[in-house]
Amino acid sequence: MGRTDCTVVFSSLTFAACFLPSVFCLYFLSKNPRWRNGVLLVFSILFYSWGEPRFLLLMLLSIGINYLSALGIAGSARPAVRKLCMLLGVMTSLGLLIWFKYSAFAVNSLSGLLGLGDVMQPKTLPIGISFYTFQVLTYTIDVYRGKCPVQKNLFRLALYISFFPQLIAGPIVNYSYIQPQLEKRDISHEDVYLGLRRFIIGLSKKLLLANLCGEITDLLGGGSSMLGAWLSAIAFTLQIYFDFSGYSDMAIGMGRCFGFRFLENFDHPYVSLSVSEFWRRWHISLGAFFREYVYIPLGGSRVNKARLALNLLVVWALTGLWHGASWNFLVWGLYYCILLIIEKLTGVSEKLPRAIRFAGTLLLVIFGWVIFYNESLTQGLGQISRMLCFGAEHLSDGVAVYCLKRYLGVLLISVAACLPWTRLRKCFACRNKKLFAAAEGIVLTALLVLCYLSLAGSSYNPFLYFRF
Amino acid sequence: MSLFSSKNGRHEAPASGRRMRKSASAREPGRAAPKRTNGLRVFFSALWVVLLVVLGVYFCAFAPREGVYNERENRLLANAPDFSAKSIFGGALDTETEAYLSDHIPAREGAIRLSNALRDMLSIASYEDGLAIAGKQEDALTSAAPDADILDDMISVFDQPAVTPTPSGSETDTPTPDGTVPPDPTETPDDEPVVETPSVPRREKPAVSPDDYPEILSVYTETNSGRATYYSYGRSNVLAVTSVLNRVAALLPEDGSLVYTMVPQASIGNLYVAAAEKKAFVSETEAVVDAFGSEKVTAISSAAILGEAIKNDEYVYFRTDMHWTPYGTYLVYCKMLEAIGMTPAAREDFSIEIEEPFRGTYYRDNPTNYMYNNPDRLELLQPRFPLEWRRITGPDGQYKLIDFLNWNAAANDRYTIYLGGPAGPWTYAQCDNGQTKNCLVITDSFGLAFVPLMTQNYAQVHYYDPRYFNGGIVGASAKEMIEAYDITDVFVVVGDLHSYNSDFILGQLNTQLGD
Repeated sequence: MGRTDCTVVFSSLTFAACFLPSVFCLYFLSKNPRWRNGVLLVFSILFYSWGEPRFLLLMLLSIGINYLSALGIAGSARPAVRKLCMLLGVMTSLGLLIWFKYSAFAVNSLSGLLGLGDVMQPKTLPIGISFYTFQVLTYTIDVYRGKCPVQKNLFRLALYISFFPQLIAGPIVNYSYIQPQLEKRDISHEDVYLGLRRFIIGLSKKLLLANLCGEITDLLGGGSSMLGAWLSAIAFTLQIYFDFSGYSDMAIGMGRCFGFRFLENFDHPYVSLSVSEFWRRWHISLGAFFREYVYIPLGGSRVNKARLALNLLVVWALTGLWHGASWNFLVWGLYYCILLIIEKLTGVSEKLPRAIRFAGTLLLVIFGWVIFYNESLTQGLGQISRMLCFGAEHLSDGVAVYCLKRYLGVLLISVAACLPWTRLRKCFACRNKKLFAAAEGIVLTALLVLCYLSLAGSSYNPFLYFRF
Repeated sequence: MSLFSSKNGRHEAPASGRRMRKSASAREPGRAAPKRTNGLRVFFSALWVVLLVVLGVYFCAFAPREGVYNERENRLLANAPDFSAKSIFGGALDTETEAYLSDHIPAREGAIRLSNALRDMLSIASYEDGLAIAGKQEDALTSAAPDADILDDMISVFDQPAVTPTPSGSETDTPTPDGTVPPDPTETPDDEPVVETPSVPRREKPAVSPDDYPEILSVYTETNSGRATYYSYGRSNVLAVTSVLNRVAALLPEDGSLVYTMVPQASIGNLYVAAAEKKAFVSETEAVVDAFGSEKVTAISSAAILGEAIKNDEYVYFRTDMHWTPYGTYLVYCKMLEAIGMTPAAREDFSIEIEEPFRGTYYRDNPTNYMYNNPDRLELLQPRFPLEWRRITGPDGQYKLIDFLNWNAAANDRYTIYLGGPAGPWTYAQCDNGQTKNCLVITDSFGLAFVPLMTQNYAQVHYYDPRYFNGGIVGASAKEMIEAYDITDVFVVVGDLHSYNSDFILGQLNTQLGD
């Protein structure tokens, strides 16, 4: 996998103390919507190019080609020309993605089969290429399908692709959904408050929970004992959720501050009662993309069983590979494909008591993250066997016991934070709105202070999802 | 397919998302958003924005540009980033900026302290629990030993039938329970001036075979809780290290000696310190090195020496740093010299400067309140006679003087007050002490406190760390340096991480000796 750790991240001081206040002030000082879009575009380009400006050209190339492709689609009535233009845009974007992300993996896998070993060095992966490529594809394909009008203003299209809140880690926003907002947005004090609230919650998830859970996985690796293997798996399960959902929260929050409404990307996935429900709650925008642009064009579920299985196989292999050019990601995707087929064909999740469905789903998801986390399948299976007490020589070890004691409070808070507290929150809010608003403001301010404490003296901490 | 079913609408557009879409699209262009705000929400929004803006203004206008030494963290804080084309396009600007901002955040020390206190509140781990992790973190810093095939080649010489080396000196010495070899009866009494005899008596080594020793050799403690093993080394690795030491010893003159010891780090030693009943602190490896080393090679067990001192409640390991204390170093120094018939200097022969509080690497990596409240004490033992510390910076012995007494300088790591840290390809002390022989100390950071002690006993005290040796700079291989400077005795002092399972001796030192 390529090196992808050079950009300003939302949880950094560079972003929180320098970038965000600057863009905020300039954005709200500009009253003209065009100027506002201009401010966002300039800052988005600055954001992307910070630390690694050479890949800016790549993103601009992708934007430019798809802009011209869409103009070509809209400017011609002949289906063949329209299709050609669409293919030009799609193939260019996908070609860049494949070249940077998958070429070394494909070549080395092939040479490995021939017994030649690795013959190609993995390339440095441009930040967020997986995300912005999918976004630009939705634009070109939606224009081709006639779902949205062509965007004649290049700067607006550039803003849609490069908009910094969701540029490097999603959520993946369909062009047809965001298109009206690019032209006209209304922002109220309420929007700013709700946006900032969401940003603080996301920042807290990342800095106060994900990073600390990450310390456990860093210390334990795959764990050398049964306790270590379980602790590592649970910590990574929590880390990846808080890391990614925290980022999505920050993206959605910042978008809201600037008047954009993004769709939700996570919906408490760890309370799911089946694997299919888990995937309806986890990385929703990616699932929606594959459904809209891969699964349904392949025939969806209105086909015979063999074709349905093939369609699922394709979708889940792509889902796995989207996360990284590595066999463990492919196996991880296929693991979910098998689980979903079993679930679909047997209907097992409907027949069991809720508690068993919940526990079973959570266990399967944790095992899935073990495959995902470990760099090789052998390591992943080794950790799973230690979790199941087959491969562990000891039940516990010194490092695992230390981690459990040191991070017990963090783990308990993290587990609690995975649960939906919406009903309780509404209950409090209904009793005394003003008191609730004050309490909420104080709690969020306290969280912001805690984030500040966490950032003080912290080193660089890139997000996990940048590498995808 | 249930996965992509939009029956409940959650996937395509979650409940909240659908509402958002509706509200966004239902709004007429130009129509203001509904005003549902209240004063509290406006107040808090403004507060959060102001906090961020104030922070940004502070960094731009008031934060110091230069990084200063930070006592609490034991390091230099970052300088303001350099806005150059190289840093922008090379990818360094973002990391430098982030390091600078996080190092100069307002009220940083208080924030870190509060942050640590909050983390401690959520934790039930003890200081002793943390020591287990400290060792693991240091493990990650070492590089692996060579492959098994290479090791087999290195130790093939030991597969010969056991032979008794020809003694060249006194009769057989039996190692004492503390792992040291008793001083030879012919050695100079303590009260006589330190003038070394040119010929060191050799002791007879018993005939042994590798199979006389266990295949796995351990570093362990025996306490009231039973035996706790911290490190296990394969016998083949230990033998391979011995073969490298023999190669070094072969470069020495007839009367030369090589003394070897491995120092268990403080995370292990402190577990022994913490034990209620201390029975033994054992390293099984030195006995093998001693048995299979050539007649010039002697190995002593630092674990045994330090373990005895710990039983007597002596302060031989830092609490907040991975190294031994200067006093622990001194105890081992004495035994190493005695092992080759030399007389160690008394501590009174040195001028001793003390720095308190000292908080070292463990504190730097894991700054707990316990360590903050229980700092260590550094002692710098300096000889009282004039000497120069020369760091070789070019071929033909070209050198620059280094400020060994860098006591108050803004060192990045306070442990580096010893000789400026483990840097530079080759360094030596030119001592005006009436001695005639030269010695070499091959060492990692554990030797930094050891090297100054040797200045009492040798005219030139050379030292080098194989990790930082560069033959291209000094214009010679390590082997040529040993020959060029008439090195008589070699002392190999390494921490456990650089002993048998790492590249330090088996790879780097071995390579630097040439073919």
